[in-house]
Amino acid sequence: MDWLLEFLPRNLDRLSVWIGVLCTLAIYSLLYRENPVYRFFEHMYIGLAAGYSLGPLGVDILYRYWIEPIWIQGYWAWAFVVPYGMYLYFIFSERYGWISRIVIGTLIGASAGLFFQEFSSRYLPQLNSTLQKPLWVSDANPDMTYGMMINNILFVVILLSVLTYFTFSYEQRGPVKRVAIWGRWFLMIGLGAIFGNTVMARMALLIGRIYYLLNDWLMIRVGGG
Amino acid sequence: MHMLTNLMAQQTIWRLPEESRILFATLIVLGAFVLILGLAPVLQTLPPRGRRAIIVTVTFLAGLFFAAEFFLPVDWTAIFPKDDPKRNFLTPAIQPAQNVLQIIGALALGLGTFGLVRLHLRNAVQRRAQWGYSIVLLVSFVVMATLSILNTLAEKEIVERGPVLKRAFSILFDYTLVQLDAAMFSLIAFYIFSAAYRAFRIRSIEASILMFTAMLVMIGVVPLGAFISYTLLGLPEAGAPEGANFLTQLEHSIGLPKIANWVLTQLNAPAQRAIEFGVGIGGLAMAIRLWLSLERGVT
Repeated sequence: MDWLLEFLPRNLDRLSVWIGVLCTLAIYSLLYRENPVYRFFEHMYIGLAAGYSLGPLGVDILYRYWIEPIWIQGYWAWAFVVPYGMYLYFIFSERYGWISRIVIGTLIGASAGLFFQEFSSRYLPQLNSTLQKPLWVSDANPDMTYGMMINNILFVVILLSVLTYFTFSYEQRGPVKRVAIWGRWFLMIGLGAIFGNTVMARMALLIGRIYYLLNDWLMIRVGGG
Repeated sequence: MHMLTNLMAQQTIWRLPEESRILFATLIVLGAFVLILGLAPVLQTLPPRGRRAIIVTVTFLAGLFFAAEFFLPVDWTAIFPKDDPKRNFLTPAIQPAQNVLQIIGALALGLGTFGLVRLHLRNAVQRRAQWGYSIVLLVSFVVMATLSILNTLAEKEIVERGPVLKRAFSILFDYTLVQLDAAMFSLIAFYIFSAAYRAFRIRSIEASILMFTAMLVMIGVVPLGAFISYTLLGLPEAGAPEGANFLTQLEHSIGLPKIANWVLTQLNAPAQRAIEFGVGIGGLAMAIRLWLSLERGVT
């Protein structure tokens, strides 16, 4: 196999930069319009990503949880798991397709069962912490300032008004409707904050790419690099 | 019977003997394949009602196991003796059950990959429109899958990580896939601006609140916000001193970065929590419907 080394570049530093630049510019060419170069790299990306996932997500898990327990540790009962999981592949058969639903049912049932655990470990502590927020200064909470008190009241008011907005069990009218409208506005503040954060996260990725093109490829030192 | 109980207690019944383990394991795996795949024609003879009954029962039992493990009290000694007071009799089986789910999940991943490869293979063989791109996908898939599997096996020291594998995997993963990944996700930055423009064009109170908050957060979390607040406007950057009056405290807290942080932690957090409560209750209702097979589309 060593003869293959002759065909692979020895110094990968510059080559890696050129490959990265080619990939970046090819993907960005979509900003102009859909074109064959973009399509080529898009399909290559899908192929590489799908191929890569087979190693760590397929072979690694099968080796760790199936091959090792049977062939190395000798727990024979695991032998039935993969044949049972193989029923999933019956989905491609018109005649036997329904059998795959047995395995899908196992996954769905287990996910439903696990959700009960998740609900109590994730949502109940949040509910608990909300209900435990002190809303006025008293001897029971001597460290609390008026600023914290206002924030706590605001927290509960926003939470209740947004929950009111999401209550669809009966027609909202009168004071309930007014609270729901306030809830919708508070919701917009939350969504605006999420949107702003998302934009900044994407911008960070874009800045990273531009930095790569300028710094690593064109050797223009920016940002004190 | 007494001997069987002893064997189960020592867990020897679940393990193959050390000598000839590989041979026995291979035979049992082959037997399991024959047994379970051979069961398919038998299952096929069931009427539609019987088929649905099997799926519903399996779904219910899978959910029941995890639900029961969680809801059953740990103090269950009267019926099932146990060695650890912090768990009930189902707890020891939780990890193996999760491993089973991992294995089935890995097989499901193969199912998706198989579907992708089948589609593009068909495109290439039948020379449908743009079949050349399918060839690109298939070639990159096969090469990367081979290298990724070999690399995973090399990590487990099953195969040797030679210089060819090391260099070829590095070129395809570090220098190509990672770069394509970063470029593809950074591309979203351009489209998110286009989406923002469309969203903010709608003239309503809600859209205005959304836009104002988004702008505030965007400016507040970058150095521009600090520059406007502390350099241009000359607001104090540090916190207010102990015992300062209300106006001084206010002056120390109206810098854009501080307002953005306050919006994120005090206004955004409760709104998010309310959404999460809604999602949680909806998820719980859906979990119960799926567990009891009331969702017709699944079973």
